[in-house]
Amino acid sequence: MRISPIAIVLIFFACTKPSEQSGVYMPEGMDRREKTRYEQYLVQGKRLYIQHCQNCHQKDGGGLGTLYPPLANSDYLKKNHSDLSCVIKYGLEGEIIVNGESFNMKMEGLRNLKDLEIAEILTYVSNSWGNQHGMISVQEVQGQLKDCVSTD
Amino acid sequence: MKIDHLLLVALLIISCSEVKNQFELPVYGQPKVVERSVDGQVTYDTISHTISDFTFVNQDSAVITNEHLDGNIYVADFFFTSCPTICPVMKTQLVRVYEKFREDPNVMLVSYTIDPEFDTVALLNDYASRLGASSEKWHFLTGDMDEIYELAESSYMVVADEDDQAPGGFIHSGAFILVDKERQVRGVYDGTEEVQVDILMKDIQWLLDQENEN
Repeated sequence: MRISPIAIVLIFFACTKPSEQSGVYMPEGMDRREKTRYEQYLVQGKRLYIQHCQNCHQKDGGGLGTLYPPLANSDYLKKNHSDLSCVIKYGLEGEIIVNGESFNMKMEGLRNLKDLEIAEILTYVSNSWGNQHGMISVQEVQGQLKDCVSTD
Repeated sequence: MKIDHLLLVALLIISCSEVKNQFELPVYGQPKVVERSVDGQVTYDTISHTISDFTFVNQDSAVITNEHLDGNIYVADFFFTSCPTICPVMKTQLVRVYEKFREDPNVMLVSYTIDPEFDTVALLNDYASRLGASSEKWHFLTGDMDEIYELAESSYMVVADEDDQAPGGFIHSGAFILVDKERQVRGVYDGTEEVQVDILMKDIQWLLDQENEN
């Protein structure tokens, strides 16, 4: 008895869910080196996001209720883009408005992160789930961190 | 070629069908044997492990005891609102359970804070409403810290304790504990794992179906 290859393929697909769309923004006009670096940042950024951010902000960046704010399609990210390195490093406390809703849960800072890691996380978050900012470089992060108003 | 097709169809059906639940949920914990005397004869009864009596306060400042949960199936967990690690994941998963059994008044959720000093009634109230949880269905309980830890360990058989080395200052289990209408523990699940919570929801349904059959 011979099973046709089609049968095997069909069985294989019968129960697998369609793979997730990465849905990551790819800016135009990057040369090969820039593109490689950008993709590298995205991969590392995703890894760090899963490790440090996903518990609260969720896998799809959707947040949870009005406890943890969404990062997906977030107007807050756009409006406060130049403060985001400080938020990741030193945390955030007090009420913020994201997409018209109030959030007020203290976010702990991730002080042990290196500047590069912050750039990677920011690049991943700012270009996933509908956000389209493009690459955030280490230099940009270092520039932002100079102006942090420490919450301590 | 004909056999091929039949085989294909059969395989497709088998590969997608779920194994039907043909099981009993176990009753967790060490049963106690008690001595009784009936008409001068000494007899022995086996009593299963049940959740002890407790008195705590929920997010609406209402006093909640075990009796408020009698006649309900419920899922219990231990958490604290400022927890940076597994609690948000657990709450994400509990929201799934909440949504799934939203219309069934026999299913309740009970979240005990293990940081009652910080997690005041007002804070739990805010936390619950931000999760979209109604106190009709989901109690966020606070009270005496030692009593909560004692209940966690001796009744729900999970760990909850202070630990200044742990992120956030507490160690606790990420378990969801399924309790039936007789206050018996019928399942323990990893509340940080989506697939485990899928099983929990099936088990809740199984308990409900059992109830309907009887």
